[in-house]
Amino acid sequence: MYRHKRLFSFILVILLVINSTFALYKDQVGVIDWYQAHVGTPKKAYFQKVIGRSNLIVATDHNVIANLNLKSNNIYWRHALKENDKLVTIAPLDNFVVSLSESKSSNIRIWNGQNGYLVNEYVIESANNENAEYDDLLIQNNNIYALIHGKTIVKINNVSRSQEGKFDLQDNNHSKLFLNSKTNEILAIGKNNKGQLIVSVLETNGRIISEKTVSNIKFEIDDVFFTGEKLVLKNFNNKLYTVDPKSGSSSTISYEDVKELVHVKDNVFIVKTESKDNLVKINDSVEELSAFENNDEGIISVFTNDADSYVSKTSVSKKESLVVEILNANTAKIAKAFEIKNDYSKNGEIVKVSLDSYRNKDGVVLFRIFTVTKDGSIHLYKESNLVWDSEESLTNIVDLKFIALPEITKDIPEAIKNNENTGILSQIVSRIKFQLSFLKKSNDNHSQNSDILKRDPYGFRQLLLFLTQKGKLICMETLTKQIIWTRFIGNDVQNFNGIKLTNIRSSAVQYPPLVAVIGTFDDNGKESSIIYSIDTITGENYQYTNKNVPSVAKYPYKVLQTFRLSNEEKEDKTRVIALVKSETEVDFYPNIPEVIDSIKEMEQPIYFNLNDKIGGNTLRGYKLYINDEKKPQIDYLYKKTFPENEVIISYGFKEPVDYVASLGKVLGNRNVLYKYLNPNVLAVATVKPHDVYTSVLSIYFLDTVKGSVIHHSYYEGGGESSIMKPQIIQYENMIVCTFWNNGAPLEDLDTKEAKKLKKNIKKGSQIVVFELYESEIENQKDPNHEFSSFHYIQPHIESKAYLFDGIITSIGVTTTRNSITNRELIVGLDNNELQGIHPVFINARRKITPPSNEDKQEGLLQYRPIIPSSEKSIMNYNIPVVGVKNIVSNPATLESTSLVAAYGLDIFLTRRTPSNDFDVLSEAFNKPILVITMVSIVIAVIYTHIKIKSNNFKKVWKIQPADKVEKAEKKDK
Amino acid sequence: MKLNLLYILGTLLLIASVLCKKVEDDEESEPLNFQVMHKLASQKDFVKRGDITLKSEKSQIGKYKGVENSGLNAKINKNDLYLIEVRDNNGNTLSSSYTQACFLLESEFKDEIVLHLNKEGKVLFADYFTEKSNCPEEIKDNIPAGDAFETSVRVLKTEQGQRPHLASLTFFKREQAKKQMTEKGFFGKYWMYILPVVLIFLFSGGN
Repeated sequence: MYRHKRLFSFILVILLVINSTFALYKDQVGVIDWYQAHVGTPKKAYFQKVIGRSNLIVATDHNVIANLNLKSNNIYWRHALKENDKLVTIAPLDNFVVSLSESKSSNIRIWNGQNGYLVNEYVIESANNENAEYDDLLIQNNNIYALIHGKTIVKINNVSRSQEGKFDLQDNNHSKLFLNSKTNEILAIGKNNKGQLIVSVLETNGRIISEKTVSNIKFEIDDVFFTGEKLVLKNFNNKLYTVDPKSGSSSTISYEDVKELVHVKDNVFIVKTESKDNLVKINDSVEELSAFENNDEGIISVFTNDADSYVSKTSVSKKESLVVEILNANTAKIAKAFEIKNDYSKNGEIVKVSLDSYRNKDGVVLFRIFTVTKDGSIHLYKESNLVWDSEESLTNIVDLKFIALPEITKDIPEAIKNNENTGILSQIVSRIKFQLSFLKKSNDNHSQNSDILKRDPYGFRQLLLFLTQKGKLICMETLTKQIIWTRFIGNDVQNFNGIKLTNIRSSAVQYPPLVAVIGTFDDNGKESSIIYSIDTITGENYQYTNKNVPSVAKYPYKVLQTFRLSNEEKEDKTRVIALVKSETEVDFYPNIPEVIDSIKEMEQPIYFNLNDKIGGNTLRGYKLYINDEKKPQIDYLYKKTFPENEVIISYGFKEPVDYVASLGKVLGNRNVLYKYLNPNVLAVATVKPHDVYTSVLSIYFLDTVKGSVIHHSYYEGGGESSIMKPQIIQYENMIVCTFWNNGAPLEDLDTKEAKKLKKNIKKGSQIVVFELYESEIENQKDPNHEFSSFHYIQPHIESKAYLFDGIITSIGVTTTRNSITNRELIVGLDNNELQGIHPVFINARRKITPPSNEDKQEGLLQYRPIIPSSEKSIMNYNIPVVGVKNIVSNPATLESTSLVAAYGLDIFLTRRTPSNDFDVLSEAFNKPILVITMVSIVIAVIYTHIKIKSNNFKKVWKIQPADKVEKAEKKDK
Repeated sequence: MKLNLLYILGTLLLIASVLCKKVEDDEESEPLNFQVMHKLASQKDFVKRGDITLKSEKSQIGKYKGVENSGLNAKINKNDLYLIEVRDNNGNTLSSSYTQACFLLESEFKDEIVLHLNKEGKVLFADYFTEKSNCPEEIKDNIPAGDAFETSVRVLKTEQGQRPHLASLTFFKREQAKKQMTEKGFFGKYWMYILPVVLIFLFSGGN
């Protein structure tokens, strides 16, 4: 019994902890979605031994500290700091990584190098934010010295985990820390406002020994090094100097022109001159120890530990094979030379190199080379072998386009392509031959790529084309995440800056889909623009049939605005792009006479805007048309300047595909409210500071053709926070705006008014939803069949505001093929989640009172001020999708399904079905039963048919069944 | 009884005085006047077309009065734009708007000016619409003087945006709490079965 008692008690305890949970099955993860984690392009990278093993630690331009796996392309751990906590530098400390970042305070954090756990954090408050970038870290044994704002040195003991001191220097322009290990003194150096070298020497307890200024040398702070005794620096005239830190006396070292000075250790340097890169010792003179054999242009990287010191030189050129030469700084001999491969057309040249040296089991010294290329991607080599590379350029995406695949991509017979020039018979024969060959091919094992580049029946397989700011094009396939092709067009011109991608031809049977890549570049000091026509299947420049149309066009000005016209270039059926040069000048691509003619033939002029960027306060409208002299002409139409102090903080975003299935909303009483479907509406959010509230947010709806104001409302306390900027999305007759509300004023809390405000205006994220209808009156429709911005309709606007429990960083909406399916709002959150909000929750027609029967029939829920969140609505379940900046969607062929891609630091792609899979059989559907039922019915039908037929035959011939005949005969007898 | 009558009379007097004060307040608010200027885009200077008067900041419509001899003598082309400007009494431009000049002809100079006012009653924007938004087949006429226009003036005031209706939240929370109170948890529901089992096992055995 006693044994049973324990058993029952155990069951009881188990019962106590039982709770309902919601989760995905393991095999459901990654079926309809994929995820790609990134760290960004490293600004500092080094190899660090953690518990005896090499680790690659990086600090990136996206505020990420990460430990990258050396064997495969994945991340051991990473920490993405908030945008307002700018990562300045990192440094190794035994098995830890120390980071220094700047937000409102200076933050020193110690991370466990192995698992990335935060071990300790020190927050240093500063009186002001001056010289926040003048930060440095110096590690000595177990002590961390952090230079903050060029003035304060903080000493932290990592053993006692305590802050041992905070010392202030006189000048606040120090930017580097060095350690004199012989005297155990700290050197803080910098460049003051007069361009002079300042050197402060301190004891480790913070006592300042000397503070000197050296006035006779003009230099860059990156060219100053400490040998352990003296400072060595290179001046603007490429001369070398030594400076005694305590006395401040300087002396010149005679040596030839020094292009670059790289510190190896102690007084050993690499001196790059015009002809050679020498390993030298610098005391009062320069002693040459050795030199690299390869005299091409190259990047020097240094690896040092207690025993070894190696210096590598990686040649930088457009060649595919690059030479890496490694010098042993201890022996002054070449340790190794090998070649690494870098695809210049895809990555550009190498811009950063980190060297690692390690010994294998046999004690042989081996090297690793970590490179960063111009496009922003990273590559790890184990000597000449590429271990992995990662497209970190994808963290700087400026535009993303979904490209629908053509049904057949290649090997289409000429007879089918040019059907105008061939006879019907030859077309039929070609078609049959082609189909037969296609059938044959499908049975063969053919290449993976040709499989991928075919449209699937549901349209889930599409291409994702990314354009990065530096000019890298990356084409990925949506089903398998496979990279189809990459290309770095930033190589072609200087300082390429990507602007956008424009679809100029969608996929068709005989034509591959084309995009135009638009960017600016530096043409010998002159800002210019460039446009590429790119075949999205191959990634190559598209060669137009019309030889007068170039696949790459350059313009000697920076475009103010570009937009796609509805006109087509006739031969290749590509859409025309207008490039606005100034308020009066415009160019077209392709710039051929037929294009001008086709624009002239258009009845309506083309309206466009030149709006101020975020932070401005003016919108301008223009009209473009071809005048009687067959020249493009721009007429200025209007200028709308927002009231004083108001600055534009956000513009409404519209998905390129925005079909409307129904012109009206059917109400519960079967009446209709007609949607206000003005394609020219632009929602603009402005913010202005306010004395009582922190700020006031205004939302304007403007007609961009007419410049008329459709709606204006203001939100007290509305605005932005350091982590949440207002976002607006527009679709159909809906406009959704998210913003941060600073809450009611905190002063004068005693007054009745203030108390009321405090109750009504809550601090936090808010979502305001607008639904625009043609009239408040049901069934009333604008009699004009064609919409015109010049025709006045004051729409009836329904609006509701909701509180949202989360910091919204991005906003998107699902799109489907015919827009019959509900549109789901998708928000990217600060906590790395992507949440889908069902349209019923953001319906602007929700009523505060309990819903009537009619409301229930309309599907209206009773108004609640908070948008509910459930685990089901989190699209990315437990995967952290970090730093989402944009959410875009594209329809699949299935009406129920929308492809949604979110990008920022990470990339996440999934399929959403806001109205469930109504056009797909569910997984639980019992297909065998269906087949059995069908077969049974067919058998039954055949059987009854035969039976009826035989009965009819018998009836006609009056044949009676045998038993009846017998009975009748008996009766007769 | 007398006292009661006096009390009622006093109350009525008080209400009357409050109402009178309100009417006085309305009367006290000064009317707002604006000038309407017009020109064709091809012309250099604006010409005064008329005046708009709003009785008060709260008015929802305004009154337009055209000026004589303010016509625009110029040949109108199909692409010509007709511009209007709304100015204050000191001649400062407050806002402008435009339409196609030929729309005026088709509309027979019936038009509408929409003034957008902020909550302080200051004009933020002005919009201009014609009754019809298409061009006649033949464009003959000039733009006449301001008094030939049949203009209506509409005033739209900036709205205070919707706030989350927090009162419904308190109601909702109360409802939720009530629901939770009524909906018992696992132990609330089955304590009578669990308790005897626990007690039996607590007090039995041990030897």
